[in-house]
Amino acid sequence: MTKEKFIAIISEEQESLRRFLLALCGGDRMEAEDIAQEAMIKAYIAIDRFVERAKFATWLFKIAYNTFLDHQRSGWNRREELDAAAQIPGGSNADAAFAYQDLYKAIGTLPLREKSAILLFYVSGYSVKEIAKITGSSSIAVRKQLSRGRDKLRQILEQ
Amino acid sequence: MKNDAAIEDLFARYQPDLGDKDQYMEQLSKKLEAMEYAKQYRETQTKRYHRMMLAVFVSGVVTGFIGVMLVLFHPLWLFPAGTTIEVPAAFPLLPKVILMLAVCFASLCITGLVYNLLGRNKVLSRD
Repeated sequence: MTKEKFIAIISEEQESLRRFLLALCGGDRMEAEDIAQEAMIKAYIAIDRFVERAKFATWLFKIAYNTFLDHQRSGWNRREELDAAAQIPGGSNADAAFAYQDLYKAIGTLPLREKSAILLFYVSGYSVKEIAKITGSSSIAVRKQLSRGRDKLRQILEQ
Repeated sequence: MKNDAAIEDLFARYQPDLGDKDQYMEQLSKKLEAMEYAKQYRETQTKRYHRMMLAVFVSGVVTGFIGVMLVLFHPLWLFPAGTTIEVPAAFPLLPKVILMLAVCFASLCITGLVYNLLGRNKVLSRD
């Protein structure tokens, strides 16, 4: 795949990916952007290993998800508690971030796997099978994660 | 599966502002260009390293071969007839062992020399 083709495909997928990562990072725009850039660069470097038959977006999301996990493991993620979000300085981005605080707070209560499954399903619109590929779980496990995640979200929304 | 209206509604409203798409893609494109350069540079270095290792290996084999041939066919060049070396009776193979060690040492020296010369060329070409 040429660089131009890669950029053309990325151009179509980047918004969905960044939106997913932003939610996964609980609204931490800097971290989400860092992970998105890193994932895209990793994808570009590893483009020779991409099998054309596979869906590019799924492959890209898998890289991004693994990059996110790496960040988590390396302790890079020193995000403060969502309750402390009120300390965010002013600006248009901060205003926009506040608009989704309920969502970030709700999904922030979910364990990582449930959170990922829920976000991939609702924000990115992936099927159970695709989510399984991205997160490296089985379809049954993803179904359970979605079910548990939904139950917890329902409870939060009812409160 | 998407049967929960409240949850669906929660995510349907999620459309965060991600900034200007063109600007983002331009920045990404620049980063990819830099990556492409770094990738090419690394590939060139790897090829150079492989060539260097091959040259060192060949020079080692050739030097070792020449050394062994010399020991086998022209031992007198290495130990002139006039040389008086007292070989202890208990160690009849001692001269041959010493010779082989000397050959090994010489081939290592030559190999090291080739390696250093190629390494220096590499540094110079990098500049």
